[in-house]
Amino acid sequence: MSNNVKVDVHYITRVEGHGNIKIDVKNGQLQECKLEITEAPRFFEAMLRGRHYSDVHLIASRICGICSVSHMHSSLQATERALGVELSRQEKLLRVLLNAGEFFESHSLHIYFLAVPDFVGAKSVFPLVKTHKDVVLRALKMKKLGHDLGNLIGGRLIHSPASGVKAMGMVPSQKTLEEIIARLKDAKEELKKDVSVLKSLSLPSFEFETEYLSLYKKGEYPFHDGNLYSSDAGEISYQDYLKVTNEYLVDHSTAKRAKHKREAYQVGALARFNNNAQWLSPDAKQIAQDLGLKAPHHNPYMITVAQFVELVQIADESIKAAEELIKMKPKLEDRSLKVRAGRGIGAVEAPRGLLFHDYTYDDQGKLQQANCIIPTAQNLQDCENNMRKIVPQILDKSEEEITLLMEMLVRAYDPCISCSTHMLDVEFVNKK
Amino acid sequence: MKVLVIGAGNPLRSDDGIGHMALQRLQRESALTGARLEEIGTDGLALIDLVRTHEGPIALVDAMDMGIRPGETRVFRPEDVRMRVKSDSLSTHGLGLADVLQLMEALHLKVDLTLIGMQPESLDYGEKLSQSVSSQFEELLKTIMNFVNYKRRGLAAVE
Repeated sequence: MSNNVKVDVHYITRVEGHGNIKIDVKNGQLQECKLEITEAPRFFEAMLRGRHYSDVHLIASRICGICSVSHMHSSLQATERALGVELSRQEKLLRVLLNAGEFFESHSLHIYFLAVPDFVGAKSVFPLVKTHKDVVLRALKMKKLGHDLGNLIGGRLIHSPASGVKAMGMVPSQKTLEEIIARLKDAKEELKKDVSVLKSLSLPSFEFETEYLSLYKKGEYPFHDGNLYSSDAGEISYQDYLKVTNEYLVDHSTAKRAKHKREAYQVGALARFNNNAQWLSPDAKQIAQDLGLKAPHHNPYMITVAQFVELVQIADESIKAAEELIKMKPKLEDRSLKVRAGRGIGAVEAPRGLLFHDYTYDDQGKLQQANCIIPTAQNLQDCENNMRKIVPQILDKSEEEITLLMEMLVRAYDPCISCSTHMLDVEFVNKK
Repeated sequence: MKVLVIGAGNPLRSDDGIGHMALQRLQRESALTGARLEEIGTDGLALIDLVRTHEGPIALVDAMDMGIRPGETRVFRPEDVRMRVKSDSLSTHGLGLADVLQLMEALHLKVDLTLIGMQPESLDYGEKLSQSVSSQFEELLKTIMNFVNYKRRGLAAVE
């Protein structure tokens, strides 16, 4: 039984960005438990001020290279809502496909390269290649599918040049859409092969009930638009998001934190699953069942499994979208719009959770004010709380084991730390 | 069968942009007949995609820390050197090239791959090459062209 434990991890491995874990236990009492975010602030909210609406999404997507589509779409949604622009059905379907590209890459990389090594006791993906070569090759195939979807729909997956306010600047041909459907169907078959592998993994088992927050659109498993849903409070208008997020600062973090009904809440794949599992496609539901994932699920280590289920869901959603687009025979759409002053709130689901972009424009279409709330920032307090709950339960383990479990917990959330580090409001007072 | 020349590196990190700049120049001047040019930027895993879909020799051009004088170029096979692999530091930001090459070996991917590396002086944020690297830029282009011609002669002999 260890009475004194000191864990000091500089730069957690296998996460995006830079974070440290600090844990100090003396005589069995937890003295300190911190998830420190040391990534430099990004200043995007300030950078967007004064920009013309036609430039804003191009800058905003640069917040992240992994979730650039999510930032792009949340940004566009905020601008479109501010300017009173309605999207055509064609545009909505094209964004579904572009979004699928991002999720295939992001979720696959997280599941296979970042998280699964933990569950087989490997330090990286390399030992996994020896024991599960097919799994690694399939992961690479999923990643390639993601990039190819991005190329075919947006001109490029990362910071897609074709994306724009109101409509995309390119449309796929019938042949391209047929190719996309074929590859998505193939991807589904490939994913099914991994179910038995994932089932065989032993995940840490901890039950930490928290508030789960996600998008909500009755009858759908939403990624693109909708209201908010809290497992504690039910449906909430997305326009009231500030009443839910309540961002605040802590000393040891350049990323802000959030809370609503409890000390913290959780966003991301598990939150989405807990709130919307009833509307998964039949295949996704079956795979969730096969993997032992039942809503509501309170083990944060299962976020990775929920991500896997989402890949099946997204494959199904995208096949439907592509089939509908084939019938519509997409054509380039007119992008002209009438500029007006206004405020709009974009709320989408990024791979890691709810992403808000909130913009106010003047009557020249120049951005006056921006607020961005990032999924990883919303998860940080929940993660730290769970660290605090787990440590007392595992004091009988060695310091190495405790350290590993803590790192695995942080990795389970699939944090995108660069996205979440933010600007601090600084006011310089001139002393004359 | 063509020779595939891949440029890697981040053009926003000074000398790390050498692969990008070399390929842009070769592309603009259509200087390489019988070669296919591709850029992967900082997406190390994209190398695996290209390797698995290309039949024929491959050259990868990138800034590489080889412990030699800035601006010097080396041409070598990955199996002939020891590379420092930071395998557990990989993140969604991307897999480093050394890691990718080790991954390719672990996956038993058969490939005729040659590395053309230039020693950088600076990897600071910036879009310009340092003096020691830019003064050797033409040499690098010559090295790439010589390599492609050498491989093409070899292919022609077989065909």
